[in-house]
Amino acid sequence: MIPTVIGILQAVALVLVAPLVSGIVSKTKARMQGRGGASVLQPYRDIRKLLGKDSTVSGSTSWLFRAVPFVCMGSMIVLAMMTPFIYTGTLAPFGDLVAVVYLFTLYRFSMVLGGLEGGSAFGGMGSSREMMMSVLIEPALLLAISTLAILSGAGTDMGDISESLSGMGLLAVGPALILAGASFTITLLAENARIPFDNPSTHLELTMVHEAMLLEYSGRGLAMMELSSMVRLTVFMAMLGSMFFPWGVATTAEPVDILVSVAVTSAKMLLMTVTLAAVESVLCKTRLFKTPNLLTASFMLSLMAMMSLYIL
Amino acid sequence: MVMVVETSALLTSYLVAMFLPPALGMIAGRLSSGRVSYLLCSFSCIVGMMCYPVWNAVPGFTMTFPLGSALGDYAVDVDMLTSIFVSISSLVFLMIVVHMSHSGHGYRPAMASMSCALFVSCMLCMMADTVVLVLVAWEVVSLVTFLMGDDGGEGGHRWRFLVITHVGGMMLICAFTYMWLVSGSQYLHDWTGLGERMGATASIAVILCLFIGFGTKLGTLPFHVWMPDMYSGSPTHTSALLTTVCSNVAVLVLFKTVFSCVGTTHDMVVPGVALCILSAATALWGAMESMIQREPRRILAYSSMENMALVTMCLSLGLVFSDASEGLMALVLLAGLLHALNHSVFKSLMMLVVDSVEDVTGEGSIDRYGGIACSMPALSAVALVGIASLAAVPPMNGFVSEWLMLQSLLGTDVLASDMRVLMPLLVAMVGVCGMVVATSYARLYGFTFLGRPRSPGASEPRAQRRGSLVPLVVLAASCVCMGLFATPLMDRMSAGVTEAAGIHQGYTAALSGTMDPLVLGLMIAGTVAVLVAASKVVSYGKAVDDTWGCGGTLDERMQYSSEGFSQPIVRVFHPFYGDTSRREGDRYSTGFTEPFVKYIYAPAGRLVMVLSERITRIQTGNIQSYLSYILVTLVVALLAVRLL
Amino acid sequence: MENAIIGNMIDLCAVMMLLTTVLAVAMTHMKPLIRLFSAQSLFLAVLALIVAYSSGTSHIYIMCGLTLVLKVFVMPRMLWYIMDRINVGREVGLSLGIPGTLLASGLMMVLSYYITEPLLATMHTVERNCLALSVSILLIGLLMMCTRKNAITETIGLLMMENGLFLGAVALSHGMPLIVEIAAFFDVMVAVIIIGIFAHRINRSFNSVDTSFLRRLRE
Repeated sequence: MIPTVIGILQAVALVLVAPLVSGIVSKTKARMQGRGGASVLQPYRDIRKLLGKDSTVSGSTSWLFRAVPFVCMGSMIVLAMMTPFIYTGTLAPFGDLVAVVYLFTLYRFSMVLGGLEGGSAFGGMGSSREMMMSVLIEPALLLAISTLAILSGAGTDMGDISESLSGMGLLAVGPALILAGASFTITLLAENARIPFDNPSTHLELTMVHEAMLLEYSGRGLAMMELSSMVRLTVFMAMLGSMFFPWGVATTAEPVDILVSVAVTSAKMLLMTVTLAAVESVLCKTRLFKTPNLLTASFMLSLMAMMSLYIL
Repeated sequence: MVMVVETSALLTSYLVAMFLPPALGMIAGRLSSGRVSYLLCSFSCIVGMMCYPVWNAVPGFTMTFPLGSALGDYAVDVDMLTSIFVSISSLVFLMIVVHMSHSGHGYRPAMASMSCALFVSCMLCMMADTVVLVLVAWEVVSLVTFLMGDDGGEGGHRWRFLVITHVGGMMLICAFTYMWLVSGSQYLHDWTGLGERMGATASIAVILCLFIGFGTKLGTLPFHVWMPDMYSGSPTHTSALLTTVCSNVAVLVLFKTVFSCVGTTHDMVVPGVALCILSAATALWGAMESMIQREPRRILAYSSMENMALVTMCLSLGLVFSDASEGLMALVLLAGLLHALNHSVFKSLMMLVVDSVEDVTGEGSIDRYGGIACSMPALSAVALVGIASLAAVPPMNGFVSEWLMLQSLLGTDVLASDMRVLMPLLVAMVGVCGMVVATSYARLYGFTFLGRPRSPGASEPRAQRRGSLVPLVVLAASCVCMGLFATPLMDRMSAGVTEAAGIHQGYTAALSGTMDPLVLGLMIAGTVAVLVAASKVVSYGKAVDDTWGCGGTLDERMQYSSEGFSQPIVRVFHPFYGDTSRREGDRYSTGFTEPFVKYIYAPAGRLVMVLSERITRIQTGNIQSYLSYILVTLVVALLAVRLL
Repeated sequence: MENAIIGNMIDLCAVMMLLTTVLAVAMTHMKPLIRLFSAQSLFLAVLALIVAYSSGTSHIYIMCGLTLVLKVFVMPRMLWYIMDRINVGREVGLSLGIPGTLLASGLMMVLSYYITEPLLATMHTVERNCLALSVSILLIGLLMMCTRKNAITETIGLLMMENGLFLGAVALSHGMPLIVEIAAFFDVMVAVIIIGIFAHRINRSFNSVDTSFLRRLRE
């Protein structure tokens, strides 16, 4: 009973903390650029405001366009339930890594279809670019998480992987974990439309990828699309923190463990958030047709990670 | 004794109900413009769907027909797996036939009687227990699909199909005849474990022959060139039957012969790996090529090639795993066979959707569709189910079989296999393929149903014929059901697989993780439903306006084009596609040619032409020279007899 | 337990070397390339330090020091210097696209894992990874030399190959005899100097360090 409650709570926490993560990233970036920046709570305010607004939809869209935000948000909530964040006993007995990767596909697939709905050049362009990148991102993601499954020897359940890895201690730190972690980090940037792959704050026709697909949304739909992409970033960070470097994550539902884990996880998330902001401040967005270079590198790293496990 | 009589009577009446009506339907082709044949065929399809329940009720589902041929008897033997395949294939067949009879294209009545013939031959081929029946039925399947491919045009696509499929047929005849000779029995059920008697080399040769032979029908490289032309050139329903039911037949017979007859007593790792690499290459090729096609039917042709390559990859992995772990072998074989069944359901759905779209708009290229989701929401909804299944999005059925495939590649027992180096590459390959085809399907759906209409036909589609949506809805519902209730289906199929392949372990032994597709599906559906319900609680204003067009008004030509959509991927993978720019006068355009046609088939065709020209030279027309040919032949033959 | 952790650390350094090599293949600019080379050498030095500590072989300490001084600091400086002197562009010249080279280097890795597999059975756990990694670094370095047109980039490819060789030598057999090592170091030094001079000459003759211009010498 108690583990289930904790499972629900951590999924809720993951969704609720997502805007805060985005807020901290923007704040840190602003500080690094010498600006004051908006408050870290700004994303919450944005979403609240968008939720209260009326929405305007394009006349050339169909029922699908109105369904896309719900599917995107729904798939991210299910994903939040699967991800070990604070406690490895995830809510879902279905937290299979293949399902995780294919849920990302569901999210992306519906967003791409939504992008094609408006019938403008922007939506199509964003969809097309998004799919081009995902052809290299998804396999890398699949390989990186699979590597962990094999490394931990605990099957393909996300919670089990995290639990087993944190039990292995320093023995888990080997080539496979490092390579898979490096690959996953690149994937995190690419999948969440961060610099150097895409600029989350641009609306310039030539460069935008993710934002181009969201142009036609407004009001409640936009709020859900924004929130779901924030949740996606947070889920990725949670995976990086609790699966690739799982030390400190609670493996039992004891109150002490959970408290320690909350503290450690917060520290890890903060560290990752600030690092992300730093990376985004230091690097510049690359040309669209140069992104495959880095993506292929990520793909190769994860392939190598898995290869090293299968050989040894 | 009474029981025995009853079961055999039941069996006889079942088989009569299944095969007599279409046999009559073949003859009754012209009656009331084919309607009688359609009815008879539909009736038999429904009987065919009962195959699994009947198999459950009748303990020994075998029967020898009272008529034989000079070469041997005709007999059927149905095991569990066959009954499942027959049931689902019959369902698909029924839906296609029902849609065909409602189709607005006005097919010739001959189509009705030929689909009866196709039904009989497909079902007999799956159930066949004697070698003659297998080969005859397979040959009839090829011939009937060849005849059904006639759309009144020139028909080059049909002849290409016929030639390539006969190359495959020849290999099958070699393989089956050799096995017949070695076993000394014409009954396939006597062939179990034949590999031991054949020896290692012969087994490998037979397995390669079987894979290539059936592969010509499944589109294995380089025998895939007939597919896109055949699919786009022949009536859609023919292609639909070809890619679903006929592929099922090929996969099932291939599986049964390789794993039940030849068996895996010898070390099959090397041929397994070779076939696996060939299948992986085929899958990648199909996925990449489907990205750039403009006609929906060609997109689906290449996607069939990709899906079938995944199936043959699973079957060849079954050979690779045969020495390492039985559980893993059961898992990967199950994944392959389940994918074949799933594919037949969602691909037939998509084929029918494409047919409906072509019917209502009168257009044949995705560059001239668009906006159909607004005018036909029901059609677009069932199409979305099909597309989501094709793209393996959870919780549809395509996802379940891909999940099983990946599970088998990630299983811990893989470590025991010598070929474990291959596994990460295959995982990567499945991942890349999955995303490329997902792109291709997003493109197909997006440019057909979404956006603004790009042609007059698409902006004012004709109304669909009444009732023509019913088969689509049934197939879409089957997609969802086979995804959600995959576990019971997998359990039954797994029992069949282990029985046929002589494996002692179930697939669950090799499955890691505790995912249940039903739970996952319900979670996704539940979450989305809760969100929708929550948004209904507080009402808010909705306004309808034009799409933002940078201050101007957008017309239908100012949308992204399908060519532009695939351009980034073409650019990233440009070595695959080669030089794509075409120049006509002072206009440049993008065009793609199949390198296999350009570099293999075209030169081979030229070679044949040159050789035939050489040969015509000896046809002088002079009677003396013909007589001298006879003299020379006679002398050579006599000398040969004397010397040897 | 301690052994296992030391083994892990060695593996880790070796993997980081491979990681830098793969990243180096993905680089389009000269400066990060040189930085990656010094990072790779740094990991080699750390690896040598760990091996020296765990095996107690003293001459590996010398090798470690030499690597640190020469490869982490001196050679990158020299490469900078050459770059400045001959005004070579910041871009590396590619004859095969980066994704293509990366996929090819992936194949090299698979190949090296595959060909070293029979040898792995006879080895300790610590050394298994290093052999395969060393062979892959070697092959990828060579691949880099094949696919880059710029003379400086080719030099870096050579240096990376050499690092891969040292990785194998240190991890598997606790280093070559000291004299061989020192000789190898100076060989490479000399090679860099000579290549530097050559690059200078090529630049003077052709106004570019693109080695594909050397084809003209055939006539």
